[in-house]
Amino acid sequence: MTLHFRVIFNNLDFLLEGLKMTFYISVFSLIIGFFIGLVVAFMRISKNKLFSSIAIAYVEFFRNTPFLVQLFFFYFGLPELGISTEPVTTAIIALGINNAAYNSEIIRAGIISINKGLVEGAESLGFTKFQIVRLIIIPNALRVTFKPLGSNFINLILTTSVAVSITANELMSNAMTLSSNTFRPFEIYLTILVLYCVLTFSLSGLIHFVDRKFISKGIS
Amino acid sequence: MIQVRNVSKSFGSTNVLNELSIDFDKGVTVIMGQSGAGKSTLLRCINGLEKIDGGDIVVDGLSINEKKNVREIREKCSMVFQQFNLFPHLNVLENVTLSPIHVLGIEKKKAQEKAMRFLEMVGLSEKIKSYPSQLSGGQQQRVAIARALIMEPSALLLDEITSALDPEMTSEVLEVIERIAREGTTMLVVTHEVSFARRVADRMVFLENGKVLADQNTEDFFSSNNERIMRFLQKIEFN
Ligand SMILES: Nc1ncnc2c1ncn2[C@@H]1O[C@H](COP(=O)(O)OP(=O)(O)O)[C@@H](O)[C@H]1O
Ligand SMILES: [Mg+2]
Repeated sequence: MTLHFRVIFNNLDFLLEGLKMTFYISVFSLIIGFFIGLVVAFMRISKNKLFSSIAIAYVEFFRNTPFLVQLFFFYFGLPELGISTEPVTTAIIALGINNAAYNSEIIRAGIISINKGLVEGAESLGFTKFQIVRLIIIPNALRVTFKPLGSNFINLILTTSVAVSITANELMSNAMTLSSNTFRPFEIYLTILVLYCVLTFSLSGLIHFVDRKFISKGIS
Repeated sequence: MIQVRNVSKSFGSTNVLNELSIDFDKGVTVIMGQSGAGKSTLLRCINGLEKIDGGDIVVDGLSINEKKNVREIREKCSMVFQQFNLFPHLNVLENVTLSPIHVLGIEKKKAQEKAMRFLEMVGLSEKIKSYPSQLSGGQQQRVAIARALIMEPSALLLDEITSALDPEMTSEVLEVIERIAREGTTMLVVTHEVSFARRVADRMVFLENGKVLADQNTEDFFSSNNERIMRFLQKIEFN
């Protein structure tokens, strides 16, 4: 077998276009996933039984069903209810909602890790509630949550490839289009494997760096 | 300076403070009493960490029943806890400067200079870059003392601050407290350390079941012939 990487160079723009879309989908679903995750985490630890039950149901439902089915449900099922969205928007929403279920458990662990004494220590010095959240609670909760949330984000990036099934024009979709036009699956999929790997590997390096340098200082 | 007037506090059905009244003025007051007598609750009420059910606490003319006074009262009464409660994500210098910067609005440079003075006072000027997890319990507690002192409070509230420490660290912390006491800092000290109390106290208060059973000068207290106080002192000296 002879390898023809020329096909890659000739269509590099098309693949990079896909990579950009993958990045775009990842970032927006990251944001959605974080904020829903935050809300669900607070609902989960709330004393209100209704809130905590909803939160538990949410987390268990989305962690115990295949993402592909969730995506199809959002894309093909919801239009039946008159809610219809573009493939990219659907992918962002589905990924965000799915990721939130995982994030909320991590954020909950972060919140629980803040002990009462730490907050009282701050209260007794006269900090306002808002200052306590900003200066004490968030930085300490981040120490517990930053790296796990980071791994979730990396998973999220890899999972964007599932959006090929609704042709969201991200990296995997474009690779598939290219492959069926050029009959060079080996070169094309090898290339995008490398692209995914470079993207997530450098991101995980960045996450570790930021964690060590700014977040986990003082942890022995 | 601190007036506690008919203060009641209960947790559920447990009455912890029963219409307790007492005034604290300049100097060092040591508070003793059996475990569960309400000593921590009293200090925590003065600091506004527990809300009182009845009565009033007035600190430098500010009533704690007015919600807007609570933060100012906390600035005036700095508390040090048994479990140190340092900020684990900040180094020693940052732990001490966080409240002057954000609560008192002092400029960072000035706060750091000021922090250095207090860290020197507690013997930790070499450790400013260390994080709490890198310090011994005694060192952590001394940081907590510096963190309280930098607020220049009207009164320092110390709640069994050596109970979580082994004897060696206990004495290093108590030495610091004695030094601060000699400089005329007003303190309310809950402790079971009898010889320390004898040296440092201007006044002794004995709590029992949320009431003041004795309130006298140090010498009288330790030669008291109140049976319950004698029994208490015997018990803790025996330990
Ligand atoms: N947050 C709380 N919830 C319920 N009960 C409490 C709480 N804090 C203190 N108590 C009870 O109040 C009583 C007095 O406690 P405390 O003030 O800590 O006593 P001391 O410090 O003298 O040992 C104890 O019986 C204790 O169990
Ligand atoms: Mg106590």
